[in-house]
Parts: sequence; structure tokens; C-alpha cells
Amino acid sequence: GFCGCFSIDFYRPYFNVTTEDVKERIIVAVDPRRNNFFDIMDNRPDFYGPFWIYTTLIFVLVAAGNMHAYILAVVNDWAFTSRFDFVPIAVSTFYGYGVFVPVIFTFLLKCVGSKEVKFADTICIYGYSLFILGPVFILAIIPSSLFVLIMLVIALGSSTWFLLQNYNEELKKYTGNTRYLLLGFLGLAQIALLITFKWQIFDAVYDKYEHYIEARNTVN
Amino acid sequence: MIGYKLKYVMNPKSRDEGVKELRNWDLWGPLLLCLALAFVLSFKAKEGADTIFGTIFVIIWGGASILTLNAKFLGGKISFFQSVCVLGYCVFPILLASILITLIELGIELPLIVNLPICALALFWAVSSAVGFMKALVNEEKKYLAVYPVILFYLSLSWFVLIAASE
Repeated sequence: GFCGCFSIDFYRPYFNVTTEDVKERIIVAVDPRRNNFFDIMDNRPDFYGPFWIYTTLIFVLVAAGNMHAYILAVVNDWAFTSRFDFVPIAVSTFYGYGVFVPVIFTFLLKCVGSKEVKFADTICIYGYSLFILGPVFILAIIPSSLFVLIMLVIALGSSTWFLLQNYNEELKKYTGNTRYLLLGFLGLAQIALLITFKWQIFDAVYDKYEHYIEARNTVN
Repeated sequence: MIGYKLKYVMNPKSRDEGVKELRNWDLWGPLLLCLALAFVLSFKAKEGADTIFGTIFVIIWGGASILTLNAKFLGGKISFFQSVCVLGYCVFPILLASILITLIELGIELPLIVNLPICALALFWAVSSAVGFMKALVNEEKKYLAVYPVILFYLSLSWFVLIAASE
């Protein structure tokens, strides 16, 4: 065919992993001290991990957001309504982050002269770095705003630290402003994620319950 | 034709002999099942019935296509439409669960403790038929990579049924 990216064979090399490979990559990614992700990756970056991790996270996030709302309703004796308005937000956040942030980061690195960095490698490591959000979203069912914030900060801190450890070799080559630019970009993207999850989703469950909360406050 | 495939999905014992017959794929069966599920779920919704209807369509057809592509990328040799057909038919137990819950809830309010096992059973049934099919498509070492998304797919459909039932 004339357009390679619409054929199955174009993508096959990016799914050249076994179940054991994927398990190993996940284990390395949730441990922020490990800096050998690229060694494990062995020049076989995969898109299976990132794609299914993001898809699973979307599902877990929407389910957890709804459970958060359900438990709030049960505890306070309010009527539960399911929330699907945050599905588009979750979908665009994860897939947008998963595609654009690694691509832009790789692009920035190439601009400052990096020779070894590749788009597929970056997409791969970013995908696995967010795996830790899965257990954290499940814990975030607990209806305490502060607890959710703390858990999200820990998770994103861990994934940022993991990325830094693995890009350390690469980043050491640059000094001064260039380095701050790269580090800043990396950190900013993660903070944007934190803000999106906390304020757009977990806090948004409260707005449907606003009239209940107001009623409770006026009674008191 | 539709009846034969439904029997394959519903009856665990017929699975081994039935695989050859599945090559005669059709998309009418999955379409009818999809329409039925979307209708039943939006029937109960007070607001956003049209969103639910559309979402179910997107999840079923989009999901089945993505699962098929996933199996093909991992090296499986299967016809695209045959795979979408089987995955679509395996939605049948979940459709039954949603019809059952909706009919009972016309009369009495069902608590979560009743809805949850019904949905869980439907999920287990759907997943075991679909996984039997998907497992055979890819190499041994990539088997679970093809199977996991199938579980996620039916899990999200059952979740929809459960959420709609709990309102």
C-alpha cells in the first residue's frame, strides 16, 4: 500500500514483546530507584504497554471516580448519580499525554543535539511510568479529599523520579539553561496530570452534590 | 446461523467442535445484541439516555475492533471480521443480565448485593467464551497479552450494566 501507517505490518515490530517482557517492564517501572529501563527494553520498544496501560487507567479512573461518588452518597445519605461526563476528559488526558508529551520531549532533546534518543523509546518509557497510577486510583475511592491529593502526589512523584533516573545519563550531557528547560518540561507535564486528575475528576464529583452540601451547611 | 453461534457462546461444552463453524462470520448477530443492550441500558436512564446509547455502540464496535487489531499486531492470523463477530456474540450473557435486572427492577428495588453477583456471573460467562477463542490466536508466550484486553472489554460492559442498575 502507499500509506504504511495503515497496514498491520507497520505496527507489528512495536508489539514484539512476550508476556514476560511486559511483566518485567512494569516491575522495573514501579520501582523509582531502577534506572535500567532502557537496558531491559533491549531496543524493542513496545506500544502494547503504553496503550493498554492508558486504556486500563481510563477505565480504573472512571470506575474509581464513580465509586468515590457512590461511597460519598452512601455515607451521607444522598442520591447517587453516575458520572460519565469525565470519560472524555480521562480519554483525552491519557492518550494526549501519552502521545504528545513523549514526542515533544524527544523533539526537544533532538533539538539540543541528542543522538540516541528515539520517539518510540520515549513513548514506551512514559507509558510504563504511569502504571503506578492504577493502584493509586483504586485507593482514591476513599472519600477524603486530602487523602486523594496525597496519594496522587506520591504516585506522580514516583513516576517523575523514575523518569529522571532513566534520563539521567542523557540529561547529564547538557548544562545550565538547556538542562533546566528539559527538566522543567518533564516536571510540568506531570504536574499538569496531577491537576487534571484531582480537580477535573475527583473534586468534580462534589459538584453534583453541591445542593446537598449547601443544605447541610445552612442547617448547621 | 445466528442461533448456532449463540449456542456456541452460551454452551461451554460445544466449544471444541464449534470453532470451524465460526468461520461463517456475520455481523447481524452482534448488531442486534448491541442494539438490544444499548436500548435496555438507556431505557432506565433518567438523563443522558442518548449518551449511553451511543457509548455502548462505540464501546462494543470500537472495543471489538481494537481487540482484533491487538491480536493481529501480536502476530495472530485471524480474519478481522471473524474476530469482531465472535467478540460481539460473546456480549450475549451481559445482555441477558441487563434484561433480567431491568425486568425485576420494574417491580422492586434491587440492592447492590443482588446486582453484583448477577453482573459478575454474566462477566465470567462472557469472558470464558471469548478467551477460549482469543487464546488460540497468538503464540503461547504472548497469550495473556491478547487475553487481558478481552477481560477489560467485558469488564467495562458489565460495569455499565451494574452502574445503570444502581441508580
